[in-house]
Amino acid sequence: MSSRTEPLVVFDSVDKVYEGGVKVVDNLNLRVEHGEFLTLIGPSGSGKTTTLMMLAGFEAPTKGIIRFDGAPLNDVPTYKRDFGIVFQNYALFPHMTVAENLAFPLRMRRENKAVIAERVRNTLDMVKLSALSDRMPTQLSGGQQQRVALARALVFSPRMVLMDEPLGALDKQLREHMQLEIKRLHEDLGIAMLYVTHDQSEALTMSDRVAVFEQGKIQQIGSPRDVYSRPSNRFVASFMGENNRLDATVAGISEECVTAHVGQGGVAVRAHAVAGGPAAGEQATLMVRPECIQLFHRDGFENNVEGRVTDVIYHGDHVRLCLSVEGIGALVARRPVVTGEPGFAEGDVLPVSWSARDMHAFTIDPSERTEGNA
Amino acid sequence: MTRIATKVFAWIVLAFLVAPLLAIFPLSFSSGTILTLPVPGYSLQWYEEFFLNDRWLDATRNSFIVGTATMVLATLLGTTAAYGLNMSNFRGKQIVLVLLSMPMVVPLIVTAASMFLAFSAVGLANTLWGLVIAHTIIATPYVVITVLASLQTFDPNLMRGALSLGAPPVTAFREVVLPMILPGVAAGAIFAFATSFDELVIAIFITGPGEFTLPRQMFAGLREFLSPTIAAAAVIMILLSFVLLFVSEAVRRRGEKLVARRANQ
Amino acid sequence: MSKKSRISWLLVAPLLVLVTVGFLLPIGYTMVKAVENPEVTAALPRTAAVLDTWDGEGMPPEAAFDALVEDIRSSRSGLEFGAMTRRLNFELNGSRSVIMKTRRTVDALDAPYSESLPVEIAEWGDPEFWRLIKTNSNPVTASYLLRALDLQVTPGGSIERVPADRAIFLDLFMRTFWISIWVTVICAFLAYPTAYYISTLSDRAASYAMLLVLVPFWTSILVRTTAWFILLQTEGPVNMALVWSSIIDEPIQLIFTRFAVYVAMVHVLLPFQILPLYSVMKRQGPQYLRAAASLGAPPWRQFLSVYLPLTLPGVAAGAAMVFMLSVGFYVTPALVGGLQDQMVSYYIAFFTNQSINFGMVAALSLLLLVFTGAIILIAHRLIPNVGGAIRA
Repeated sequence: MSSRTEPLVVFDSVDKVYEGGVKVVDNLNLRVEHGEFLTLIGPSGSGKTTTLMMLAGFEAPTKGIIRFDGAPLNDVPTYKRDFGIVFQNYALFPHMTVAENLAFPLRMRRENKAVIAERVRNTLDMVKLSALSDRMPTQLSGGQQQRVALARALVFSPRMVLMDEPLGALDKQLREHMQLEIKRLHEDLGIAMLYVTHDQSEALTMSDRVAVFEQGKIQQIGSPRDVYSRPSNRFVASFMGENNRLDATVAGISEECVTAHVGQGGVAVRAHAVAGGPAAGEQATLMVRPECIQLFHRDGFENNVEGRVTDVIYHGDHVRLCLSVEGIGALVARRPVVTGEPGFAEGDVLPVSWSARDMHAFTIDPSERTEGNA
Repeated sequence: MTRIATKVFAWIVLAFLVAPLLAIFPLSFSSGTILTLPVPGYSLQWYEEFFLNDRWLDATRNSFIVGTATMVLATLLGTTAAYGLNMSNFRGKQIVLVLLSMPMVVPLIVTAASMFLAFSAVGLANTLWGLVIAHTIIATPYVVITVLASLQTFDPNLMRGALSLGAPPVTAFREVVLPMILPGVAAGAIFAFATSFDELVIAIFITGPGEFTLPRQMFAGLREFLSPTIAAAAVIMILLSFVLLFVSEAVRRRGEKLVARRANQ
Repeated sequence: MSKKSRISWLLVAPLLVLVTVGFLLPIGYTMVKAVENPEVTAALPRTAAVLDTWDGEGMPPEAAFDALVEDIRSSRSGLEFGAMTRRLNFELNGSRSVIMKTRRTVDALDAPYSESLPVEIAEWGDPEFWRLIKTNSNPVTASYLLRALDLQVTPGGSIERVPADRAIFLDLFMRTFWISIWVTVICAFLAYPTAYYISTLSDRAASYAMLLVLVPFWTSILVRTTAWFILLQTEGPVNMALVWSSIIDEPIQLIFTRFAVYVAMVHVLLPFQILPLYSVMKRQGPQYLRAAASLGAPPWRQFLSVYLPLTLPGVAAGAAMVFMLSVGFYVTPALVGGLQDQMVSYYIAFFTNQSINFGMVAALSLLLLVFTGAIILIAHRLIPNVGGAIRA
């Protein structure tokens, strides 16, 4: 039925305006490929959950068309869409046992009892919950409930799976474990998954592609590596991961390299130029991630300065060094803790360097010029 | 000192609340014909009178018919309306809420007189149907309140979950929403029945002797001749209220447990 | 309108239709009845038409007499005729006998009637009586509303107070107001310490104590009033007990007194005050009083400055409820009160079931409704959570 040339899901110029005139999704164009794991990430109110809700059929687009397998989806009610959905709070039916929860979608599809029993059993095996099939959801731990919710969304072989911050309620360790488990299920089943989260490590770990939302628009969509290391604008760079931010004035652009003076006529640094970036003479924000700052001089690196350590913060697996660099200001560097390596101390003066490819130059809104470093 | 005074005061007030009801019991079992204490002896003659008298029996039957019909109608209308009110913030919702709570706010005597005038004009006065309609109107707001209260503790994602799993809206409501809000619905239903069963003012205005309900018959009896049968009827109504109170408390407890369980998640 | 809003409307619609048709329309219909004035025009159509052109000065023209005789001769519908005589008699005592006498003599009269009619019945020679008929051929009238405030329109058209022997309604409204105020105050006074005491009990003991409040609450008003009706009889248990304990020498009149009305109404309405108070007090932990004590407040200050303000919303909610209910109370005063203890609702019932006068029913209902509405508005202003009972 499906033609492989066509993407599985297409959002075509979709708007969503809530009563009261708030536009939460603004001219959205988005494709989900067959078998893909696509994550929508963004701050709250960015439109990512609304996008999922529209695909699920809980919200209707104000404008535009959503297509599934080439067919318009707008007028198809939720219960005919055949998508497995995992909710943030799981939405397990509290008056049904685990097995009854799993049987529910199969009953709705009028499967016969033997088929239901078998598929419930197989699916529970898959999420390693066979022993708990007669428990009530309230008797389960958070992680177990999460797995039941996942199993219930998969048991009827849906055409796609949608997950709305499914791991938000779990503690860190369990969350990391479940990330791997969901990734495994995705690989085993080959089913397309749309995953909404505000946790960047989750997005980077699990996804084939990541779409970064802000103010109802996709700011960037691409592989996790692309989005993280080649952010296309200031928002994406600052939302995904940590940054050293420097205000600067662009002196000149050559090839892929921008030369800029930090602050008002400070030290000249070199950064990677992006499409639509600042032009010569314009104000710019320069960003470089703490882990890209090296504490030795390297010939291939365009930026080499000296910094004095003002603070050392121990994080267990890594340390963060606050550095004061003349003509630049404060920089944060992040180093792994390696056994046997000498530690750093306050007052140390160290060589500091980074590659122009790791530093991105973005345009700046006139209104934001007074903002300090973050 | 203040503590003891408060305690004594409170117990006197509580005694004042229940003593008149308790005093009715021995009176209804009196072997005499005058309603006074202490009773000369005990007998069941007044209950016999009640259960062998067509007027009392017809009134009791009418009360059950009207009460049950009111309960069914008020529960259906009140539950659907509460669900609709809870579902979205539609334009005009505030006005609808005000209109729906009017029957609770307008003095019953005004409601009764108005219904009498209007129902007479369309031939609904002196019919059981007229009384059912009137009672449904005054009882439904309470159903709306109790059902709305239980819907507000209901997680809307459960409904979404059911829809996403392939349940059409009506099935989803029946299989998922209804079991969860059942305590609220049941409490509303019991309250609707009790409201109708106890209601007198409207019954005075819009029923004739053929449609007398139990309270209406008691009222007529009190005005004609104070016989101990009325005490017996009062005891029967007290016992029924007690049963309704007991059931509604049981339902409320069950509902609280359900809410508590959900809160523990 | 979004799809969800449409479904919402669809679900609310059946109840809304029922409440509109079965409740709001009847109330509106009653309000119209308070000013509607169809009786005279219906029974005397020709007379009304002729008087419409008469300026009311001096005697009406001959045509008016012709029309009157014609109307009365041809009136065969006893219902309309009776309604008209009752209507005129309401405006002017004695009109009824004038009309009835006219009906008996009219067949024997000869034209010109302007001469023969006043000879037989003197009132027809008086322009005032004609003006009465002219005024009441008007399709709307304020007389019922005015009468409900002890006012009337003179034949000359000015508004004056009714004679003292018929002025009952202002008294009635004042009595209704004061009985309700006293019932509210007594309930609050009894409920506050009681609710406080119950709120200090352990959960288990409190639930038993609350049972003593809930059982009467769930028992019908009629049953509770009946209990008092029986207990307060002259040969009843209360009198017997008083005599037996030598407090009084012989039974006194308890039933059909204002005292009986207060006792029974307070008994019926007390749970409405205890329940909201108890729920407010139960939510008050001891921490505020402890804080006040640690800050140096003696017990009476702790109560006045901390506990009372915190629990006042409960008093207000209950008092508003009690007052609203007592203003419209009918059954209890009707059964245990005397004629001098009746409230507005009694007269609404009286005009509906005994002296059939739907205009007065409607006028009193309208005023009672306005009265209650004003109370709700005031209560709402003072305490925002009272009045609009359904909240989504």
